Amino acid sequence: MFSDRGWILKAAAALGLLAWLCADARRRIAVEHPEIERVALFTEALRGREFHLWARRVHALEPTGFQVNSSVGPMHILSSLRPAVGDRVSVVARATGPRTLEAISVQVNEGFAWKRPLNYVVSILTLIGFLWIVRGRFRWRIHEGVLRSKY
Amino acid sequence: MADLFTHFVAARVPGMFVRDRRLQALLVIGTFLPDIAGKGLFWVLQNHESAPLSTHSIAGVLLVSYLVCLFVEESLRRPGFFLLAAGGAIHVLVDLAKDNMGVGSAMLLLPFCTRGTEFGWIDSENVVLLIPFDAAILAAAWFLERRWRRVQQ
Repeated sequence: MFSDRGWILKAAAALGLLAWLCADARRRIAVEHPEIERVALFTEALRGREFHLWARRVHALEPTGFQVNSSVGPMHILSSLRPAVGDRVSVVARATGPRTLEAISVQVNEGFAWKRPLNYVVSILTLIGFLWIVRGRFRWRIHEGVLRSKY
Repeated sequence: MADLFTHFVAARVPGMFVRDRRLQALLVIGTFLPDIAGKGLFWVLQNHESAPLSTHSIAGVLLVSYLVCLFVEESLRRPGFFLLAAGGAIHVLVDLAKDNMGVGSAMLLLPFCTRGTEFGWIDSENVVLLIPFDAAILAAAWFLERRWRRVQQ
């Protein structure tokens, strides 16, 4: 399993299994938690299905809740919580009708505009810094197809 | 995702107990892999939802760790795989601390079950607020490690 024998076959098998895992997860998640765009063409099959919306910008307020945008136009979220227009919200909701979802829980993502970019900047700097620190611990020999220790 | 600095610190602290510096590096690389592989698949395959979830499952961590350990020289490969996988497990544990409104931060049992799991201790976007604490822990770990090395010499 860890020898050089049949290296390419082992790598191909691992890559193939990973691709299958992703494809299988995609298929299952699409059925169990469909994308919000599907609510535009509402069918009874979608009624009660749970939708997860992450950090969506509130587009407009409505008497019964608020509106978020999707790639197929606005969606109405029925909710007692009243975030401000422009706020980012995460919502777990059930489909109740065409373009309409009833919120099960709503979370206002305060500071999303700076927290998310900060997350990425810190992550990229950490990765670059770490690779710089450990660059001496390994030696690349691409022509041999493996990352070889210099020791 | 939590920031990679938090993941780095979470792996670096137990990494103090790994003597071989190359294996120590593989433990940390392992903790970066679920996000890096997930983002890679996200962009390359345009697999928005499921690619990051797949790499944050037990099967995903094992497969990615195995794939990466094949790029390490043969003598290091077996311990390298276990440390890469341990790093991946630490990554998933840290992510489980996030509060994703009960939906779950990771689907651990993919492909057998799509039920999400989370501890829900901290708002998922607020993980960046842990950075100063992470830095303090890292500094303490670095200081202790240096002392131990000096005592051993």
